[in-house]
Amino acid sequence: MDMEASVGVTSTAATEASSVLDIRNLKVSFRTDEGIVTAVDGVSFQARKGRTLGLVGESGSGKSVSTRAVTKLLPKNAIIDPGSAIRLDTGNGSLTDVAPLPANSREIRNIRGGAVAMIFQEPMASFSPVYTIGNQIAEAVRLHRRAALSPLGATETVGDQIAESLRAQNAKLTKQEAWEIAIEMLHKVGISNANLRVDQYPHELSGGMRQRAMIATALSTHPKLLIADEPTTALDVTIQAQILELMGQLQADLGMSIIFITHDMGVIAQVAHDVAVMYLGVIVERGPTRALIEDPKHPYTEGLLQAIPRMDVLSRRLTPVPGDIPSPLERPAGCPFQTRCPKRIPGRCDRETPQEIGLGGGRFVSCFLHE
Amino acid sequence: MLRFALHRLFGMAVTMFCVSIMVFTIMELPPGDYADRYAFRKFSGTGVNITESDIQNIRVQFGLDRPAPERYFDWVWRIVTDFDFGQSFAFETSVNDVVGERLWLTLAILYATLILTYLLAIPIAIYAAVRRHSAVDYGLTVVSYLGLALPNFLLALILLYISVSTFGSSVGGLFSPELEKAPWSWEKFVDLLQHLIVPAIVLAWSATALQLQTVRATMLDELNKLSVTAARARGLPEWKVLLKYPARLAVNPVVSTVGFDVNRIFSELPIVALVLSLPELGELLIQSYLDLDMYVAGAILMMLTFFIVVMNFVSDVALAYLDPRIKLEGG
Ligand SMILES: Nc1ncnc2c1ncn2[C@@H]1O[C@H](COP(=O)(O)OP(=O)(O)OP(=O)(O)O)[C@@H](O)[C@H]1O
Ligand code: SF4
Ligand SMILES: [Mg+2]
Repeated sequence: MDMEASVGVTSTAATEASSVLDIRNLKVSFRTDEGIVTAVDGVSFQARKGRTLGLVGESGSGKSVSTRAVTKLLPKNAIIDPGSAIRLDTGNGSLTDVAPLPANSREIRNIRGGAVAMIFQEPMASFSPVYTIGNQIAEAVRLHRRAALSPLGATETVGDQIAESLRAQNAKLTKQEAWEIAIEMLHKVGISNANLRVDQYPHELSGGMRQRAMIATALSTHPKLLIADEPTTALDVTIQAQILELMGQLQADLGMSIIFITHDMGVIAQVAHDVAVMYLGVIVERGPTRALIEDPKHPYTEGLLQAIPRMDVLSRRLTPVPGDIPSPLERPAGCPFQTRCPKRIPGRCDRETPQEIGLGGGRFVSCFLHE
Repeated sequence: MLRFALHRLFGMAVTMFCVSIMVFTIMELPPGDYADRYAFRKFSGTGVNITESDIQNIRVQFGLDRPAPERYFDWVWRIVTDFDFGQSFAFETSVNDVVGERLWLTLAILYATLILTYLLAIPIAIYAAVRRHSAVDYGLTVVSYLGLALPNFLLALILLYISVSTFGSSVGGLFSPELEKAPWSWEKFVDLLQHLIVPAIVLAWSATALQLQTVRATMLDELNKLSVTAARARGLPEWKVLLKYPARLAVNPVVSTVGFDVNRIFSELPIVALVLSLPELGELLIQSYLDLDMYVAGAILMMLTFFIVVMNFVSDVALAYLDPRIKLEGG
């Protein structure tokens, strides 16, 4: 894998690409028996067209919760704070705030699998065992693809939009057409004998093949944003490398934005143009991958990277930072990281909460050391 | 799928063969045979003395002088080719006449019970699992514990009492007295359905309680599966997600225990039938044991096991259809 090259992309065109997703001050809490638990406490980040954002952080830091909020795929006891904004390109090129939309609304359903597709950590469990792979891909295709989409910007007036949506309703693909697309997608993600595989059940495919099929399902509807929640964690190293390469290729072909969630800084360095480091429900540092890895500003990021002595042996797991993550029920006062921070400023870090500070070059950090 | 079905069908034939040997052995156990009984009956009825040679003649006439294996094959052969189960000693007529309508009425009770059980248990349990911690969910838990705790003959008596005291109707039997001997008509059919309700409730009671718990637990399990989240993430409407993914799998334990339910219904039926005076096979089976009327007992045992085996087959095939992982293992 040519890491230098992929990281090299980062330094160019850092801010030009338009945002597909712009999250501002997202706050998600859970109603539990022990009271209200805040899992995500005011995070802001953007995902850009044609680029990959890496979300990294220890278990429980809120990576899944903050990304699932985009499609409202949260447990029933989750509350999205009304002050949050989740501005998303739902297909027409401009950003709309989806935060206030109810999870069971038609708009959210259209976004799920439409503008935003997701793949998950467990390729074994992502498909239902009782339907064929083809059935589950075709399901997504028939929900979102229309016979012929009118070119972007063709729907200017309200009348046009109504006419277009009526036409789209009628132009739902037939099962046969959706099946053809399923085969085509399986072929595209590098599954040989796609016309046979499409008829098979998940248990007849290997783990790597299932994750490829999952990617095929996600991309079959041409999403603007792909949220990949630890898509390679359950796979062995060789398969993992293949899947990462495939995702990079497909991104180049289709120009979608990817949010890539992982524990693995090595994977981040390989695939992400930008990184956001999460800790206890907040983003402590974010910025272009290369700059961030070469010169981490936040003590937590430094800790994460210390375990990685050289850039070419990056594939280590994240357990380097000494100390335990506090329970979200007992969030420390002041800086969330102060209980473990080696550079803690006594009397300050345990009293005040650091705000996010822009450092220029698209970099942000939340730490008093950089004021 | 076809190979799987044929495989199971063969297994079914082997089972029936083994069962027939066991049943025939049971039939042979009581001392004496049909000829002895015939002679004794004739003697006690008419006072005419019967000689040993008369008995021997009867034996030859009915083929009872032949060795047991030969008679076994004869018995099986007649059942398979002519659906002829032999003669009843007690009723002095063919077993088919004795069993007659009771066979169909037993099946009517069986299917009414199964349908009622599944119609109640499956939708309610799925609803309770989806609306976990709701009033329906808690209510269901209480009702199903009650269902498991209350013996069904007691329930039968309670329902009998209620319907007689408040509605003044006769729940006993399967037909109203005036229609009992009438030929089949729409009116008689509706009358049968009305009379089936109480026995079906009584027999479905504990099975429903049990299946409610199983389906609810499986549904809760399935609802947490990643594949369900993945289906939601594809934008499938929630009710379609529920029906297509978790609900379909939640039905599996029900389908796989159909044979078990049939078995249980058959074993509970005689007591319930006694309380509700239903003309069904279980009660006749007990009576035929008491009378040592072995061909009747044999016929009923064969029929009941046949239905259990058939329902097991149906359940196996349905399960293989519902869950494609099974086909590979089944061969
Ligand atoms: N259903 C829930 N009820 C209560 N709290 C929850 C629930 N789901 C998640 N949380 C809380 O949200 C926090 C963030 O969880 P999240 O799954 O986003 O972590 P993550 O960063 O994705 O971790 P991992 O790397 O293990 O996937 C957790 O610490 C947990 O306390
Ligand atoms: S704000 Fe203080 S405690 Fe927090 S990371 Fe910076 S130095 Fe450490
Ligand atoms: Mg997660």
